[in-house]
Amino acid sequence: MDGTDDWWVVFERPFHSDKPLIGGIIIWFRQLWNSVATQWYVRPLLEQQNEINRQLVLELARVREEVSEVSEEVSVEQTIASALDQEQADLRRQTTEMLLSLTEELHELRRRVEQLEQRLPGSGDAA
Amino acid sequence: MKLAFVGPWPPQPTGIADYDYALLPALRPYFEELVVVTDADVPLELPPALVDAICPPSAFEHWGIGRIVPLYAMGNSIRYHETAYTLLRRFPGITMLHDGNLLPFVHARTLSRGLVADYVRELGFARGREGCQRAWHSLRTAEALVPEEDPLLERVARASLGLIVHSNDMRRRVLRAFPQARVAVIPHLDVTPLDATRESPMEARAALGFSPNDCVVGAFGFMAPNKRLASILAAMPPLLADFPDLRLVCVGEAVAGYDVEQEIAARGLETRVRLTGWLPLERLQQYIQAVDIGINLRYPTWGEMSGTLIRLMAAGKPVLVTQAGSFSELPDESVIKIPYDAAVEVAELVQALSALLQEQALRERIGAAARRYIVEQCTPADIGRQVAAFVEFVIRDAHAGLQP
Repeated sequence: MDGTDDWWVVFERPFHSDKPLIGGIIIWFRQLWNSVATQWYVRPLLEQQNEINRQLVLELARVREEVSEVSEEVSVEQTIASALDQEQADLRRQTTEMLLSLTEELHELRRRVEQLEQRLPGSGDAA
Repeated sequence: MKLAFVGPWPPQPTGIADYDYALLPALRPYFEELVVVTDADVPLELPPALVDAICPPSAFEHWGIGRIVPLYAMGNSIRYHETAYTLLRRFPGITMLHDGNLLPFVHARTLSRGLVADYVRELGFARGREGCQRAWHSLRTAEALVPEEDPLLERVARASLGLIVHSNDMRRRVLRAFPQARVAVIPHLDVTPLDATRESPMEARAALGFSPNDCVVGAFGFMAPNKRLASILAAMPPLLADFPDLRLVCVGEAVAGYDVEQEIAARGLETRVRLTGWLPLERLQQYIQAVDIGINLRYPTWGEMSGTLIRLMAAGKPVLVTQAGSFSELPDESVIKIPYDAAVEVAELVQALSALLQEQALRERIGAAARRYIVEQCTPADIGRQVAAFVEFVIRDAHAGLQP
């Protein structure tokens, strides 16, 4: 359904009859009666309905296109959000690793400083 | 180094609390400060000398990141592991992962509380856009996700500085979730408390009301359909013909919605099966002493190890386990492995139980091998040393990664 097909067009159906011999007469009579009784009334309604249908089909096609675009956008947003969520976890992990590592290094440096201080002249060890 | 151990603790009624309690003294020598973190609303049964402090989760706000190494005990019970999960997301640490299926945990934490966005986010974290779409699909169709496809280990694996698991099977599952994870396989420690009952099997039987001639077979732990109780019950009638004194005792709580009594009644085994429900540790240990044979079947399995299996093996009992997951990694001589294929499972159970009930020597041989495995691989002191070494490795490895 792309709006160009004419599946939505309402049209008048031609009369037909299966009766042999008198079938033609039946058809002629129905057409005559139709032209007198209903055609002038029904035809404008058909035209009006066809215009409504045409507009609806066009609108439907537009909405479908829009839904498809939004779906695509949502899909991309989901990908981005999930990736950001993962990145946030990675960053927290890496930051923690870095800080734990620096804390350990700081302790080690303090220990060395204390050792050096003890060796300096005037400290207990040096005396 | 300072360690903050976040987990369930006794008297919280979960096997992981017992595990943490058994591990704690073994960790003590390796850390200059050892802090226990808990949100339990009951006083913990921890000897004061064992830890430097018992703190609430809010203590992390003061410590901040980097001044203390968190060790999280993680399982799939929302009741006992939500604190660890929440803290882990903010304060990455080492995670001891006891369960390879966190789907029920995530479900309980999100959908069960009406938190649809959180549920979709978790699936998205695990599997990206496809995960979000799977979550929406399951919500729209009410088609439940299954742990075989969505075990949801990604968040824990990715947030952790390193993970400790108890089997290679679990290690593979974690690496599938996050291939860059640092994962150490450290056996499940022997959780049998040092002051556990030293009653003889006969004394324990007498105390529990079994007759001396009874052949007592015990199935331990939470009762759920994947513990294969239906197969165990199906194996009973053919065995009773040869062993009229056979008794089955099921020690553990049934999961919600699983009508064990109905299943027993359907087979007319009410007089042969004893259901104890959940038992305190001392009583559990007494039942372990009393049984001739243990059964610890589990399928499907998600890589988890069983604390009651380790207790049974530590007590030198022959145990029948399922040839699947972590259990299949146990030494062949230390347990009897039963295939999970439904076509042969019951027949294999009958055959194995029949052989064990007939031959005391066979029971003793397997029991001794089980005990040997526990002594050689699972002592708390050994496990504590390995855990401490892994914590140190993770910090060093992180440090090495920071070098220019």
